[in-house]
Amino acid sequence: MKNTFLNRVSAERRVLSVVNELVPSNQQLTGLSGAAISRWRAVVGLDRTSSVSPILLAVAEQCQRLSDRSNETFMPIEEADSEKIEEHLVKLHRELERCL
Amino acid sequence: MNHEIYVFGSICRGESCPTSDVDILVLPFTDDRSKFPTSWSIYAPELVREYFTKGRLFAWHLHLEARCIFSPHETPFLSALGAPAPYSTMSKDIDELEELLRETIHELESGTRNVVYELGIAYTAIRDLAMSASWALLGEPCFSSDAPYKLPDPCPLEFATYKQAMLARHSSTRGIEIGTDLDQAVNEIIRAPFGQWVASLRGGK
Repeated sequence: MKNTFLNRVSAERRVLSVVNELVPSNQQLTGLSGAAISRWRAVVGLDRTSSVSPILLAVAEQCQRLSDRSNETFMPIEEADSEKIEEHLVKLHRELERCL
Repeated sequence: MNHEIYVFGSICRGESCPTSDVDILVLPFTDDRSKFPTSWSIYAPELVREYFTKGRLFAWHLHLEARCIFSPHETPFLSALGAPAPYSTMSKDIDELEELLRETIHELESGTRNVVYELGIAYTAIRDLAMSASWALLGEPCFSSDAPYKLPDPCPLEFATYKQAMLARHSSTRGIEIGTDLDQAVNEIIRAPFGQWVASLRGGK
């Protein structure tokens, strides 16, 4: 079983790939922090991303929970419930294809 | 107000730079975590106590750096804990961080669209490998962001490239702007002999 930071990176990587496959490289979403999402929205366009933003923020929070609300990498192992992330990913993909 | 607040990280090491943030640790003595910003690190005091008892590197990080800025107690919780047990999970941490570095290099080699994110993860893995190994190689844990260059066998990556990867991480976590011309940094990270370097870190065990 992996530590929680590795789980978190795997989850974040999947979310970012869903977004970045659909935008040019100079508009890539660089992370799932609130600040990175805000920067991405400003670059891509606030109107175009308005319906995506709440889903991104929700899945970002879910990913962050995988490492106990911290960026610390030396965390103990915990079982991560990934079901909610999967649900968010489906929603995110659908909404991105609609609005981008 | 039944909680304690500490600062730790670069600000406590005097290592501030234009993209620095302030690391805040909250120890809530009740279950109400919702009143704190999501960017703060919030840990149940009993979990922190467990880290101290088990000798986790994070416990040493807090022990050596954290400065209490608010406590309702005469003696802050971390001060009362005293020194953590000796760092006990170095070997496992190095294994996991090497796996993290290997995965992110694989992503970069595969032409990922998440270039900034992956560069930032490479930085995190390299930095934390050095922090972990510093326990054995330097005789005391080093939590500097430049820890990979303070070891007897320094990181086999140009320092400027390492710093570029650090900015990538700050773009991921703090939303700073970073240029998109990152090909050189990606190529250098892919080519660097990290396998040998990590082996040398293990040699200090």
